[in-house]
Amino acid sequence: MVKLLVIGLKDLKVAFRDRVGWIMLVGPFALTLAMGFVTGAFSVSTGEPAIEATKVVVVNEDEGELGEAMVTWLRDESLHAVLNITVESSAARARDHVDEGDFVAALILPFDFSEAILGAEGLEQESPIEMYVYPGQPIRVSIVRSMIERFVARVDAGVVSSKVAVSGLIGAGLIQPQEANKVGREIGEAQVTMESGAAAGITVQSQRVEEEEVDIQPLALLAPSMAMLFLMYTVSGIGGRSILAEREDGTLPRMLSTPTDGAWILGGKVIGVVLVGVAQLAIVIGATSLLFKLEWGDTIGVVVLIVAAVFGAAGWGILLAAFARTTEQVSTMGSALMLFFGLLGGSFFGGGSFGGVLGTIGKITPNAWAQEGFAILAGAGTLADLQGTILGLVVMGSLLFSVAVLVFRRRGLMRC
Amino acid sequence: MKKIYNIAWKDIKNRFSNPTELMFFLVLPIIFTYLLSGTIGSSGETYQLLVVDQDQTSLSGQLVEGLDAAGSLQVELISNDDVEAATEEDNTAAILTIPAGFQECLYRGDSIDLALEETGDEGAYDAAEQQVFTAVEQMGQVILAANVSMVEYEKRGEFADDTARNMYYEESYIRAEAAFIDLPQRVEMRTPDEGVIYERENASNVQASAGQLITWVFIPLLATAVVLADERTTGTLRRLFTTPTNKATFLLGTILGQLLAAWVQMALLVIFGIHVLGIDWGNSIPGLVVLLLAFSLAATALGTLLGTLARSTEQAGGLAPITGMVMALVGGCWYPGELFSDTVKTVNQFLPTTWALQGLNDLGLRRLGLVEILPEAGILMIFAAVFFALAIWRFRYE
Repeated sequence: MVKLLVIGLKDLKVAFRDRVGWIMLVGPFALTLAMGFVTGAFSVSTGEPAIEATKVVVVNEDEGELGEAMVTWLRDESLHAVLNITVESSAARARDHVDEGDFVAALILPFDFSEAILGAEGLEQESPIEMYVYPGQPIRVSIVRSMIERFVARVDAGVVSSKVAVSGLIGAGLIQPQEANKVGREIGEAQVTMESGAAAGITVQSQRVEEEEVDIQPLALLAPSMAMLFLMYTVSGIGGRSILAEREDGTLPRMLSTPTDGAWILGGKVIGVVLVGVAQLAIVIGATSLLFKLEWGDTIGVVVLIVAAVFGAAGWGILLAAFARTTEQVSTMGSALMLFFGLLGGSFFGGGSFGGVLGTIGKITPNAWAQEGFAILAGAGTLADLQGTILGLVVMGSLLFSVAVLVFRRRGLMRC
Repeated sequence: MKKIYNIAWKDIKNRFSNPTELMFFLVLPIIFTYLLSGTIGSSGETYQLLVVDQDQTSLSGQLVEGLDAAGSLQVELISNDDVEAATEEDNTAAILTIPAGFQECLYRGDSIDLALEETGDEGAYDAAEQQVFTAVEQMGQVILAANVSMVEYEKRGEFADDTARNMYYEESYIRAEAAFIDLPQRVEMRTPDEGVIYERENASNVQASAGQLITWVFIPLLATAVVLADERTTGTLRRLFTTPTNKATFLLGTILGQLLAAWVQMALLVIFGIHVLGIDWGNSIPGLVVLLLAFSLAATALGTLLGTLARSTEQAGGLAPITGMVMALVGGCWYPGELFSDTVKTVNQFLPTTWALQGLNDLGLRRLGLVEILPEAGILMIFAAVFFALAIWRFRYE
């Protein structure tokens, strides 16, 4: 047992003395900071809006009242956080502003916009609002479009209501055809001011699974993702490599010449990989707690999850070392595995993951399991809530270690 | 010239002597681009929205039809008795119950609640909720119109009996439904290029592909640092300079080796984007070539500079990917740059990744040509000049 620990502790010392060792500490910090910076996670912590309002320039050429109503609605205080509206008189100038990238979209309301919707021809007449967009901003464009469609849908609902009511009343002989326009306008106006007394009718009552509302810091999801990304680099690129390096440098045959069984040496190396991984995660977690005031959650849960996550990840590192032939190979494959697992396990999306089949495949990565665990803890979960996560990681690590041992034996890597 | 070519060829052979290099050169870039470009969409989703129709009337039937058309989740009708078993199914996103008396309530002009119950996966429930909201909103507009029609009738007259009332409601409902279907287009999307219809999906795909292309070409080019540091620390650089070879020849050869590999990689990724993902990189091939050349020069220059700053091969090996990842991320290659704050947008003006991405977006999304992307290409060339100048100033033989 002492031999196991001695080998493991030696590897821990070597890893942190290694010039490459700093990457596993600087890497997660640098990327967490960059992600917090670009995703607005720091702004959320300070209460500022993470995303600035979308700049839209509006040209109202409409000769009726609907255009004015739309501009007033778009400039309403309730939409200030979403839309930043500027009114312009020239459509050509508005398009130029968009071309120059000053605005995401130009809304040009045609001269007959009101007439097209409210006039006698009504619903059949086409005179659409021109939405001239800067195509490099698809998300903001879709936000603006949905806002415009919301307004138009409301107007259309009022117009359809009045037309249906009027045609019914004429059919029933309750009004004369010549009264249609007057009555239609009255009904339409009542719709806008909600004085008609006709309710929309259907309400959906969402019955979500009861969960305690917890305010989770965005960084509490980003930091574990980056920590897991670089943990994979550490256990495969550095940990796995150390096993082959012992053989290439000739220190393995020297160890095997002592009264130490090959299995014990491999066990010691595994402990070394786990210790390096645990130290890395502990430092990252400790430092982010101090620097960013990040709350990782229940301490015991965090400690157990760290060990389980490292165990699961180390399994992949050892397996890689079992199959690789040179230290260069294990380094390159380790980096590839880190990136691939980062993608599949959702580390690049702050812990989110693909849905469906890809989401299921992502479960082969320790990243997915561990990030899920850290999210549970950040959401005020405890060790008891982590049973499935811990079990998943432990089973993963055990299976991978077993396969690795078989491969090591078959290849005779632990013999003189 | 021959010496430059020999140095370049030696570096290329060295780099690809390890077959795993192909992972970074092509395999991972293709996987990342494919998965992140949105091409796979929601093909993996197999969730169901189960509906218990306790009302069994024409209006409840119309709501079920509307649900089917309102989203991607498969809608299936089940009976009250099957609810418990259905809740246990893994692919059940939610269960919607349409209560008895649904139609009657609406005919009277009263409000009614539908219960939507979450059964498992939160993401699937969100999709189900969205689908139900869309269908209910559409039906709600029709119901509102029918209700208005009823109210207006009753202001002016009385129905003979309930049958006449219900019949009038149904007629109003049908007329309203038809009117909503026949509504003309109210919003017309236009882009600077008149020939292109704006599609959000295409725009997102171009952005994601451009971001991945930049990331996966940028990081290996920064690894020029590793080549330089390795030559210096292993002493091969000193040995090389005992021959009649000067500093410029060595640097040009090393840079050319990296650039040639990057050009092949970029060409393959662009071709993959066009033929497999259906990405439209725009109308200007000269523009694309000039922009990518300028970007590759800027990236290689930065890699060269990093190579002169790193003290060891290991240090260079660590510095290159981290610098590359952070610059790609802040430059908008991983997340939509359009959502970045003004502060981030100011900071990222100092990164070559930002300008390369903007240039690719201008070509692929705004359909601009060579002349219009010259400012971006020019800025990338300025980056290249500054980085190369600093690298030559910092260059040491040992």
